[in-house]
Amino acid sequence: MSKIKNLAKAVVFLILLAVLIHAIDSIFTNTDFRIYQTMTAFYDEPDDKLDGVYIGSSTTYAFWQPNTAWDHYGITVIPLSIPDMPAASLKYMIKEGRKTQPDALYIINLNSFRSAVPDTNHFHFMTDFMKFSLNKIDMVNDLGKRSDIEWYDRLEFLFPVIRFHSNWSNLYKDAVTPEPDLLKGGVHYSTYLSYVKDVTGMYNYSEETSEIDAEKADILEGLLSYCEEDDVNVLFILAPQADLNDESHAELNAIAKVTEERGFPTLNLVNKIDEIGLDTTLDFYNGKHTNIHGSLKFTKYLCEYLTENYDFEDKRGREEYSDWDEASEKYRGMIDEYVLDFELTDPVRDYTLGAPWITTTVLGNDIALGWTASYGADGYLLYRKSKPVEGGDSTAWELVDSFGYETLEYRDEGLKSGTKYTYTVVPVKTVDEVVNYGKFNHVGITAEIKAEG
Amino acid sequence: MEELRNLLNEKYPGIDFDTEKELVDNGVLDSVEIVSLISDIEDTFDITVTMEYIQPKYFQSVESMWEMIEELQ
Amino acid sequence: MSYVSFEFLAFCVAILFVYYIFSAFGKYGRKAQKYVLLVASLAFYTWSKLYPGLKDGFTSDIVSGIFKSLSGILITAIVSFLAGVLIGGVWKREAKKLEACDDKEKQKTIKKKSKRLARLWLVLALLVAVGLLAVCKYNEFAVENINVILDKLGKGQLEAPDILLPMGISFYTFMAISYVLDIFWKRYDYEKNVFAYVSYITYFPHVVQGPIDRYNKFSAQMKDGVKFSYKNITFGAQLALWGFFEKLVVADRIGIFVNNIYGNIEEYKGIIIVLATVLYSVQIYADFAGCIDIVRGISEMFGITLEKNFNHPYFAKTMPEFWRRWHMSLMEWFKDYIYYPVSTSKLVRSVKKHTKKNRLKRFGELFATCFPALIVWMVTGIWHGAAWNFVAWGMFHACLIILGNIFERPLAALTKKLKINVESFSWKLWQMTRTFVLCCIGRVFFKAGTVKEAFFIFRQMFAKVELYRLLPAYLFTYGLNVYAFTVMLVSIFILWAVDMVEEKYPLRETLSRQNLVFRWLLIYACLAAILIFGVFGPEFNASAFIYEQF
Repeated sequence: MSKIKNLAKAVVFLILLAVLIHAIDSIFTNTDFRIYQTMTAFYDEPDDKLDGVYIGSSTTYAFWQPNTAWDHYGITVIPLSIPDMPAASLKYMIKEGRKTQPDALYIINLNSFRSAVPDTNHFHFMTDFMKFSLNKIDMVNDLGKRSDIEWYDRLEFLFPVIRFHSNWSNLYKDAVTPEPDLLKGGVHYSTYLSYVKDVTGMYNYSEETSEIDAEKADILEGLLSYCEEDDVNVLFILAPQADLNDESHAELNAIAKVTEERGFPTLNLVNKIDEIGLDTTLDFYNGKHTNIHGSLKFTKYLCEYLTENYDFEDKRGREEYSDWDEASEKYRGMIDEYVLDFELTDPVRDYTLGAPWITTTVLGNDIALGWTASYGADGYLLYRKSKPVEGGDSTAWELVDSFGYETLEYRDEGLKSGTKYTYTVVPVKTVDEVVNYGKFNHVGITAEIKAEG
Repeated sequence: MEELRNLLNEKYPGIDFDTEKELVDNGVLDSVEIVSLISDIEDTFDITVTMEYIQPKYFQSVESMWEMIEELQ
Repeated sequence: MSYVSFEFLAFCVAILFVYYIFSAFGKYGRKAQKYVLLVASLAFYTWSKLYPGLKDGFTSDIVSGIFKSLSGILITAIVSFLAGVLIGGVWKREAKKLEACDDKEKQKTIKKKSKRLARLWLVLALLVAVGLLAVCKYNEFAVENINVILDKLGKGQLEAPDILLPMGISFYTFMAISYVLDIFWKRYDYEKNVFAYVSYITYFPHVVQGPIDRYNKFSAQMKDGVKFSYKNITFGAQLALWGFFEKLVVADRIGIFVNNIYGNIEEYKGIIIVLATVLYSVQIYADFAGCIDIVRGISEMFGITLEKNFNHPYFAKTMPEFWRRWHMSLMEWFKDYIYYPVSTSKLVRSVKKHTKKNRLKRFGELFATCFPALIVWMVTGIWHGAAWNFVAWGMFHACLIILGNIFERPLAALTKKLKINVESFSWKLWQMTRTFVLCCIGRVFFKAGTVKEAFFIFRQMFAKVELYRLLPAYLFTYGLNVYAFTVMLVSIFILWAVDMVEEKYPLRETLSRQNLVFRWLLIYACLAAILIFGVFGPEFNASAFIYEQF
């Protein structure tokens, strides 16, 4: 009898121990809130409610805007993406997604094949926000084996407390767990929203293919076999990153070819920058990612493709999707100081109209603006936003006035002291009663009215 | 054995050798004292205590010490 | 593999599992348990070569590497085993012959002859064991010093041959020596089963850092195997858990601070060095005692209790008492195998004889106690490290012991005269503090790399006071911020508190009589403390055991 009692005691002790370790784990874990938001957006979604799950690295969340897709097309596609997600993780993320969204379309960014396996930090990004499960253990083992990490060194990826417990002295600072931002995975970090980098020099157009590295070929085969065996509805995409050198580009082209020849729908978009309407001078924040302006264009392009090729219903207006309406509204409120009103309305763009150069002169409480003419334009739109010098939120971009093609200057009067004003000018051309919007300075030119005294 | 008892009581008046039966294990006699005691026992009983007998079991009590002395004589 | 690693924990769980499966097969299964331990210990000893072999396959390189790493310990083990057989055989034959013979003169010759033969085997075995230890561990030290002399003579320098240092050689050699001497001194019967004996020498809990176990006590526990016992598992695990706390939470955290100061010793003067030295003394205790608790706890889970090594040493009131509480198995070894033999050796006996009846009597008595002590401490010093600063450390303690002996009577008289109450708490506190301070002084020699550096550190300590370094603005910049420093102090306090309780009550027994909820809460709290505050994981560099280099 006492033997059974002892056995029972031991079992209960070990169970409580597991609970304790789990509790400590959840306190001492990675506090990268951005990843927390994107993963939470996916995990919090009710079962069987998504049209698609978009899997990939930061190429996914920087290119795809779930809220805009909802706003214009009523489709529900959430990114399941983590910075630098390597190729080896793709299969496991599909499995993770299919636990709750088995019938969704799985859109996979083949850009993940730029790296086969992650380094230690990015390994943690992968695992720290993934729920504990057999799938997670499988993934850690697979990635660990490919990276030559011993089994006992892999434990830190299943129990992040091993790496993060030394943060206990900082705990009081990070003690607050973040609230989910309920933005369906739509990102809003500052570089994405406000940076512009000219990546024209980096970008190359190439249809070359090359040999695929053995490790990556092995990973690719595993991925495709899994999709075939489990009958996963898959769409492969190669997102138009600008910084691919010749070797990477050729290898990725080869990989896209393999998936296509295997019978999977594949969109190789690296060479299609013009078709998508991306401008390498204005639409990227670095060689790897579009900024919000570029991502709006990419999202529209992909939505057109999806609605054309897949049976996604337009679910706008339905009661049970009101959370998507709320998310979209909230997101629009967050980006209105970065994005002009027409960018969100599915406009016609004419990129032959170049962005005007703007100059400002501060005269007391007025700012005198001047801009260069844009060849081919028949009018200009002047937008303005302002922000107090002492700190505080910026206003949204708002249209000040529209002008005919001869007007190349404007005096903005009666402005507030101690405020910074930012302006941008959009050249327009009306064709068949439809306004075509040209290129414009996404960041704008800023002038400051100094505070009094 | 009386001679042994007298020697011990004279040398260590603070220890009650009638009740203490674990002199070594309880740390009542330390190594320095044991060496000194060995020297006295050798002189008094005209024996040579070899290493075989310098073990805890022979020094735990008066009785065990006497056993050792008898074996060596 | 390190004792403080997930690998080792997984290893122990696996071996425990196999070990107790054997115990399910009755008497023969239990007798076979020692072979499980033997295989496990050999695997543990060669793990760094064995594991890659198991993973990627056994190349000839790996196999030869495994044999090379086992050669040292197996030679010592087998030679000492054979010595046991041969010497034991000599005594057995002697006993038979003595029984068959009544003539006292003949008996004397038989005894003399046997002793000579037995001594031959003893000397050969000791030559091999000590020789291997000397060559493997001290060749560089010897060559260094020879080179100094050669340099002075204007001759060329020698180069030290590159010899592999077998793991735990200082410890297992002493265990082998203790066995051979015990057989020579007819303390118990020799072991006939070579596997049983080798599993004692290679036993993985004690092969790296001790304790230095005696064969009779060890084999009595291992011989007939062990039945599964819930108490063994729980008590053993609790002890090991406490060991992990001592090592990972207390010792390694102090180490961050100590290494910061001692690692940049030229930049610091005064009181901060004193603080670092005091903390180092605590660290070395928590580190060593922690590791010993881990291995003793694990060994208890196998049903084998190893020698106790620590008994709250800093509660000692005198230096001799300290050495009865610190590294006890080593000090016992020195007592039984050096102190007593030297004390009863011909040299000491003849000095005592020739000074007994004259004015040199006091000298004779002192010689009889101090000379063996001197020998013991010289060997103790050099055993701890192949460098002069360790010898200096040994000599420092030898002086303390010898001076203590010389001045014992005058000091006792003085204490009486001054009417000091030796039973009062304040006096005991003074004694403990004095003992601890003397220890700390010795520790400086231990920690410094050379004698020169040790004296440099003392000079730095007294050059200035630099009291400002204790202010918060400075104190928390030496590797431990204010939170880490607080945790360190709290963990030291917990260590002290537990030791205080243990001084009076057997902790685990007392714990087992408390409520289950209280017990479990305590254990979970300890586990959580180790998990959260332990110095391990990728954020910290792996910390080596201080005593592992021996």
